[in-house]
Amino acid sequence: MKCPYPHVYGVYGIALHSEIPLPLPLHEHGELAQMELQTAPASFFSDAIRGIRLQQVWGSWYEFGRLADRSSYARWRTVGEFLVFGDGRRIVCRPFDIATAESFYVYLLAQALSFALVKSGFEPFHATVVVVNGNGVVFLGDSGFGKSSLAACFLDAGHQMLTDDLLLLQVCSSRVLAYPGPPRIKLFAKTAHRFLGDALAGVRMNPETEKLIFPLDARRSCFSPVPVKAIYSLAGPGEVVRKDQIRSEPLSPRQSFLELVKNTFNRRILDADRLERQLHEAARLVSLVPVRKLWFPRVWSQLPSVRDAIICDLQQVLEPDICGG
Amino acid sequence: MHLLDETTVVAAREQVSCDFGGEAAILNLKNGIYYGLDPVGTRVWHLIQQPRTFGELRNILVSEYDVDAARLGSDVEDLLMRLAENDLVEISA
Repeated sequence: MKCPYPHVYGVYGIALHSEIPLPLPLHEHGELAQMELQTAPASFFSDAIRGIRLQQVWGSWYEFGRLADRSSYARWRTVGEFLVFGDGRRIVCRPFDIATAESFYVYLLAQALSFALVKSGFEPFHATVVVVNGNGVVFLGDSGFGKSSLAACFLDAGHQMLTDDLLLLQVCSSRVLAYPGPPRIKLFAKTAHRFLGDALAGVRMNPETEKLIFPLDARRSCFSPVPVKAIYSLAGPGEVVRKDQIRSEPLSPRQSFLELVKNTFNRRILDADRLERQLHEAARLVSLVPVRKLWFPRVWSQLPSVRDAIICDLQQVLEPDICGG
Repeated sequence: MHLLDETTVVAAREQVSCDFGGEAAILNLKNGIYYGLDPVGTRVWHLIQQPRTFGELRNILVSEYDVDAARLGSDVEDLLMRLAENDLVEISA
């Protein structure tokens, strides 16, 4: 593919040909797809959405519109605006003046890119993945369920982060591979201080949250796809009280399926083709990877115990032959 | 509305489903809503992937399950009516 853009990055297994520099590793080998990223002035976007009625979730600062040519437009009021072409091959973006670069990259490389991924036939999930002994351990759950805090606790013990927020999985020879996302993690300052130390500086993600974006160095990031060992669906904070024990249980295939479907990324594209693909993709994953539900009290001091319980779980429950369990 | 023996039922076209070891998940493609069926419901769902009369459906199930025929007919009718309310089956006289 001949491409006029000066940068080629690798993210989620995609070769991203970009007009602008991004905080991503350079693309090195193999790819699931190729996409292009370019910038455009405000007039390009205002022309594109002229006559389009944008949808907005009540109370949200996010607006979305679908154009007649199947392109999707999205903007976050203090971050920037994005147009994703109908075939998912090209993203046009514009950061707003008040946006920090870090904040813009977060929305570009997760929310905006999710439109391109779905339009390209992929099914991204809302998940955080850490790498334990070369295998991916996936945490599913709504925002605020503790995916990133738990991942930070794994980083503290020397494990690596694969992705935080958006996950792309691909079935390869009956294995499920998880692909690396941008090398960063989103955490509240206190959690970052506790698990990552004081040396890292974070940048606020957006004015609506206290969460900060922390870049991760090569020691803490995994840049290659890894096979998925297990998927943990985190019980919500409301399902657990402080004195509860840490426990995990296997989910039935149907429950596993529903957890995966519940945690698909991008709920704006809901045409029948996408929904049908989503169903088949989730059903296929359930047949290949164990999905467990994890309950743990939301107490910082207990997170290392949660981490240890997961590692023990991976060895004893999921590999009983090796451990004699 | 009650189903007659000669009433024909068939799974609607705008849905997709998958089977998880005897339990089915059905996705209504019109509204994006998922529905779940227990093993008996899943058996009914499999049977109505092709048009069948209610009487034929009931007879097949009576032969497969150790259950009172009248009770089974009533339960299956309830299930089919609920599926119809959610646009998952088509019922025609």
